[in-house]
Amino acid sequence: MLAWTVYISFLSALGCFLLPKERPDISRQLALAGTIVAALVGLICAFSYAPVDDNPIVDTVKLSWIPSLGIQYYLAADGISMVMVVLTGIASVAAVLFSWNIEERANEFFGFFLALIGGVYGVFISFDLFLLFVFYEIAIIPKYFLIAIWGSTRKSYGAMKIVLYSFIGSALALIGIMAAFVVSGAHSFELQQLIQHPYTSEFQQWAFPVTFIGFVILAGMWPFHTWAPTGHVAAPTGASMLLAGVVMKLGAYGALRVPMTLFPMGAAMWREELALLAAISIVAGALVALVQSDFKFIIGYSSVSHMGFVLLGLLATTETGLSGAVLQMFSHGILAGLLFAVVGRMVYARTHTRELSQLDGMELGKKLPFAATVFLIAALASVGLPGFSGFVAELHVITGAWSSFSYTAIMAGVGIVIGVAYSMRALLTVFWPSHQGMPPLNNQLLPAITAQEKIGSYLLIGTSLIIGLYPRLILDLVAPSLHSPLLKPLISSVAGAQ
Amino acid sequence: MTSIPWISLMIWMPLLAGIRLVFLSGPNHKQTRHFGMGISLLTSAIGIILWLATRSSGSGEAFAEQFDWIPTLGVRYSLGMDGLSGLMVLLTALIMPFAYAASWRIDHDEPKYFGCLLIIQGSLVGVFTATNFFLWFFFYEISLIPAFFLVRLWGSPGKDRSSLRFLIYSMVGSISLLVGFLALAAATGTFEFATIAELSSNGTLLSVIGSNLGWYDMHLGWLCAVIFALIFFGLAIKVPMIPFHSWLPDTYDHAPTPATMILTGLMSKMGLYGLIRMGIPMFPYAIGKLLTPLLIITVFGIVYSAFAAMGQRNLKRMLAYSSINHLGYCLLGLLALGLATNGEMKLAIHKTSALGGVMLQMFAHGIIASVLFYFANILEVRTGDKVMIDEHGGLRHVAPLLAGTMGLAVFASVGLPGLNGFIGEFLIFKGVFGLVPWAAVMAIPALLITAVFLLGLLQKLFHGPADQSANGFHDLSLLDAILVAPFVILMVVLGFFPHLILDGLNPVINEIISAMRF
Amino acid sequence: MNQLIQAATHGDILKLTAPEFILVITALVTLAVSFAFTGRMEALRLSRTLSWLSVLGLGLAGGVLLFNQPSGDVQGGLFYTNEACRLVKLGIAALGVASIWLHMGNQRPFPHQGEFHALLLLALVGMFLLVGADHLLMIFVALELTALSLYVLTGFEKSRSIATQTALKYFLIGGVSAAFLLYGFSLIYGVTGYLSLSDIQVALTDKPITPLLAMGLVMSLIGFGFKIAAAPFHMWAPDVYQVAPTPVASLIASASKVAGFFVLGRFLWGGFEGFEGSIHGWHWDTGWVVALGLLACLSMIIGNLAALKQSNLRRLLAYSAVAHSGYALLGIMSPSESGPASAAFYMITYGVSIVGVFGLLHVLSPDGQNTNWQVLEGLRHRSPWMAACLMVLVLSMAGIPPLVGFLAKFNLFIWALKSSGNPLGLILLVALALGASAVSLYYYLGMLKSAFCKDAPQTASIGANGYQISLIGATTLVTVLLGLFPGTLLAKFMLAFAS
Repeated sequence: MLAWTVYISFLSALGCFLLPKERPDISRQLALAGTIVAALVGLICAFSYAPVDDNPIVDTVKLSWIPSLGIQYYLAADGISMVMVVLTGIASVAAVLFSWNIEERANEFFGFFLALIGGVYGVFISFDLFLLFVFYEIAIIPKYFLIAIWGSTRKSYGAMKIVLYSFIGSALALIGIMAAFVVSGAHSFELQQLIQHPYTSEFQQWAFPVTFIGFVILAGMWPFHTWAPTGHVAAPTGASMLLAGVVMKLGAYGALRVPMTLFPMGAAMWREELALLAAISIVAGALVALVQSDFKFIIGYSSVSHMGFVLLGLLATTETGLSGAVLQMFSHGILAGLLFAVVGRMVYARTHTRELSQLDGMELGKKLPFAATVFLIAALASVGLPGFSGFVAELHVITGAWSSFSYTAIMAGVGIVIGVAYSMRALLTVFWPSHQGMPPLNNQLLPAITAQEKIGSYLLIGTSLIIGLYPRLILDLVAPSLHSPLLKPLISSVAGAQ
Repeated sequence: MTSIPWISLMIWMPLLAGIRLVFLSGPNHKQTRHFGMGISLLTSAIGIILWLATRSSGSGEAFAEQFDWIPTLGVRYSLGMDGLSGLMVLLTALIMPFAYAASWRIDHDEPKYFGCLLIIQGSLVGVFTATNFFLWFFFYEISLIPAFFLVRLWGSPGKDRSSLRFLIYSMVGSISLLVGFLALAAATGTFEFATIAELSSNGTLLSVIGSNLGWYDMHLGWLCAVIFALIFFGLAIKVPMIPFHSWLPDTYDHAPTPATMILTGLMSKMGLYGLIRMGIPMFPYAIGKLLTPLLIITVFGIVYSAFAAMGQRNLKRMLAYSSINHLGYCLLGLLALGLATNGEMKLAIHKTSALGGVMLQMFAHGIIASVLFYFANILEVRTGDKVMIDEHGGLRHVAPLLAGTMGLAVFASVGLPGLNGFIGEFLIFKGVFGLVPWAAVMAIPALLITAVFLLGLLQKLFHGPADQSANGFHDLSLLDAILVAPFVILMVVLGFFPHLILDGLNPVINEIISAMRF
Repeated sequence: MNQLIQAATHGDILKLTAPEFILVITALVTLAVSFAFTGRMEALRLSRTLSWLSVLGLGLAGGVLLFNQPSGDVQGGLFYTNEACRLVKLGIAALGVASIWLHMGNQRPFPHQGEFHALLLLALVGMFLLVGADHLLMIFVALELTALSLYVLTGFEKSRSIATQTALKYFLIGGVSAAFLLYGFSLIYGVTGYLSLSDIQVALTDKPITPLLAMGLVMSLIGFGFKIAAAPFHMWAPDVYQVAPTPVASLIASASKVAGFFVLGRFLWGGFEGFEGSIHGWHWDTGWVVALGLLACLSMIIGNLAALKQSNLRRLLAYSAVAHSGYALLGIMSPSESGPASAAFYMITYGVSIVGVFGLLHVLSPDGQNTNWQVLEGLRHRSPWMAACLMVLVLSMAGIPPLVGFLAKFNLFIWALKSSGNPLGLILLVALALGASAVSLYYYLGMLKSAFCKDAPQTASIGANGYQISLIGATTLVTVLLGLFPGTLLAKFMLAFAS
């Protein structure tokens, strides 16, 4: 049943493309229906997820596809997959709600949108590495069109950059996958099969970093992150929500599933250097966000910083660190969506400017109180206010990182502090600037917040709150996977090396 | 365990109601006010009942709650109610509705305002009943945000800088606390206050830190010192201890006065509460080693703040410095507990006395300061502007009731015997004198100065010829009188019968003191 | 079907060469028909009739290949056929049909249609013979047959001076390369004393390589390199692709390449196995694999970099074809048995896509003269389904799943890497190929950007007749279907080449 998340998304995409472009309202409704149904499917499967014996992987579909290469159409899910599927569901519904105002060529917009979502679902539930790669690549092309047609600042350039970086990253990852397949001599691309082969440490020494870097390019790890702020800023709001919220997680998820699972020795060899890069991502992203003058760029760079937490958690390779990484993937997925929604849909679509210096004079705290409150909550949640998902996630990551490489934990802490700074700066400058009693520069009324924006906001805030208060919802799903034969070698190889 | 989680109810009911109010932006403001007041009163009612129950039974075991919250981090959702917690919950229950009523005439964005108040109420209860650091910190952080916004959005001019300052100081303190405690948790494997305190009293805390936290071969003593410094610093900002106090006068001054009631009455107690729960039981040895410099700073603070208060012309700022001064006495009492006694019985008695005095004073100051600021609010409303002491005079003629009750409150603040402000200070001085006599002696001048400026305040405002601004000055309205009356009565009653409170505290005090056997 | 015939009698020869025979007859028939009916039938109708005849002939040949073709060889390698040959010939036939189909979409045919069709068919005969050649002389003859037909076809529109110029250029360059080929062959003959590849192989077993033999190999490789348009022997391609009539260009881009690759593989593995040398990572042992590796690197790099700068779409496709040749060379170089199979599969599926793209360009610019980027602009609005087909075809060439282009590339890379003795030897070249693909994505996406993101300068919708629609639709469908369900066809290929 889980496979229907993918099928429904693609079918809805096809449907949207066939709709006439003069009727944007039908496209929107179809898109909303499609995402909601897929999200519900994901939620139902997540709640009924019950691992059997020691094996946390629950099979959905397993068919022979290209026998001459040993490729199967193999869809399955373990706890981590389920978490990501739920994230995609919630984030996609919210993104559609926040894209309700797209008028021009709406049918194509939602068509590409749903195709992207379908690809993303596919990655999370593929356990045949070829199939995973296919879905990973499928998710690349719609990004180009979404940005190039409906985007804003430097959309052509941003679109091309995002696509090329993604493609190069996936090419590197492909090399790793192909190498593993060829060297193992197994006639199968199934993850559980490929992991059986004992790869030599010389092989893992290069295969791991190549594959890992390939995937984390898409996750925005420093110094391969430059596509992210440009691309996310150029993208239309709904696309930014998805791109920063979910698609960046594809990279991190892929890094966990493929190189960290297949090449644990390689992981142990390269952990420290890569963890340092992750920590630099956190700090550098935050520092650059601090000096931005464009509201959306602040959020774009903050996404790089928050993804650094995910990567740091992954590279800490302790149970706590990995749990933290998954938590942060989920948490940031929701919160990034919220932040971009406020910046793009609530503010920019109304004020038509993103420059802090201009927004400063608009007294948005009075004119858009809902937006102000939502942004406040989102900003606080993402810097780690207790009660929201960001706090538990970051705490797990820092704890995990501390036991592995303490200095990275300290860097992460510094990153959080800088995060408070730029968040407060953005929040206060845009919504509650200190004008010492001067009259506002710009007194026009702005359109009211629509129902769709409100529902989307409540959906995302509610999710972050629920997970923040009861993180066991995610932690319990993830725990069996951490003890499974897939990840055990990783965790124990690192523990042994210490 | 009872079946209904009363404490959680006290926390989450106002929190959730507050969040709901914050999001509201409709025109039916009257309803929100009443709704919020209702919730606040309900919460307070539960708080009072719980305090009574705890007091009579001797311990709050019956209300303890526990739940495995984040097992991967070893964090439990556990709340408990002992004598001290009960007292602070009582204080919250009394002051919050008081502040709520004082805010009745806020002129804009009412739902958000009252929402902030409710959130603060819920999180305060949480801070005072949490039994592990994670939960404590959780609620502590939550309380900061609405406080920030109360100043930022409804304060008087100058609020932008002061609110930001308040936030930054608080954040820095929180981070320091967090880092220190994370290190402690990493070493001991738990966040629970009781467990860590026990380790400390066993004398094993040091070795545990050493074995689990070998960080780049740092010398063990230094490592413990760093952790202690981080935790102490975090709490010291909140108390506040000179020289980390500079956020307070500005914030108290620029905040809307009802908010200041909460800030001074309740939120300032969070720092002291933290010290009692964390600082003293876990690091008595460290305090003892640093005793002299810490005491010097504290005493200096007490005297300095008294002088500073005397020099103020703005009523709120004067009261702010006065608060710092009174809280300084509490800090003095707490620090004195760090003196190494080597098990001498007499000194233990002094310590008991000091700690009891601190807790009493926390309660007393909460009441008194809130009432004083309430009166400041009344004066502000009546005169339509900030209250500068020199500009008014002879109000006794036009508002005798106001003069009488405010005079009573001022006397309580000075420490007149028979009112509740006396016994706490007396016990503190008694204890401190027995432990570190020189500190007590050096603090005495401050008492005199306090008396001087507070009485001077009374004289300037109420006595003397009536100023022309006194024309049209109404006396206390019936509503004001009804609100203030219980507190005034409390001040008198507790002044004569302090054991009403002290009885409930004795078990806790004994527990803490006896655990510090060194 | 699997009987092995050692052709002795003419009857046997006929059985073996039936498809080629059919094609020759068809060519003659078209000539005859055109002589008979020119002037008496309206030009368009005549052209269409001839095209149908050609298609029929190809269809018949294909049918024979599919159902009734035995395996065997003639005269020690002058002509041989096995499973692999059949499959490849079927592919070539299909691509030939597609090119002719493309021609049928032409509304205004130029004169001398009979000659045109005959030459097309003869070129195809040449390609068939090339695929079936195991003998140096036969290779040369077949190559020349194809090449000469193509030279003339390139310059067919005599009224345009640039056409004749280009055809002449093609002829001259082709002639030079033929000379290289011939000289190389003669050297090989001189060293080994044999012309049949299998004999050559036997003669060379356990013999070391001599400078003369090496030179012969190198010169032959230069000749072949020209044929498959591998850098640095690709200079003819951009001009020819730009100027030749669209059906001719598509034939050159698709079928001719397939035949060229097949014969190259046959030549090297069939005759010179043992001298290939090898590549593992940064090191190599000298052999023709290294030479191919050099060609591959140059093709991938030069092809993609040059394509980035083109303003004319046909030239762009020419340069990208050079790059694709580079990728396919990896298959030929691969030490595993399935390497050449993957290369053949790759070129055939690539051929399908490129024919589709040419068909699209033909609709947008019927006279073939104005094929700059502007011609694509606003395609999304002018004809949504054509834009969709363009997206499918272009993305397939870029190598994006789930289209067949990706699968063929993946297959190619896997077999390039897989080898019992030297796994991952070619990994650096594979990495280069992936990087080059990334570069190619830039200009392929550029095409899509024009089509989807830009507004149309003229809002006139495009009229496409039935032939064009069916061609574009069919190629797109094949690209998608083979991408999603490649299993059986791929397996057939791999199996066929295993022998």
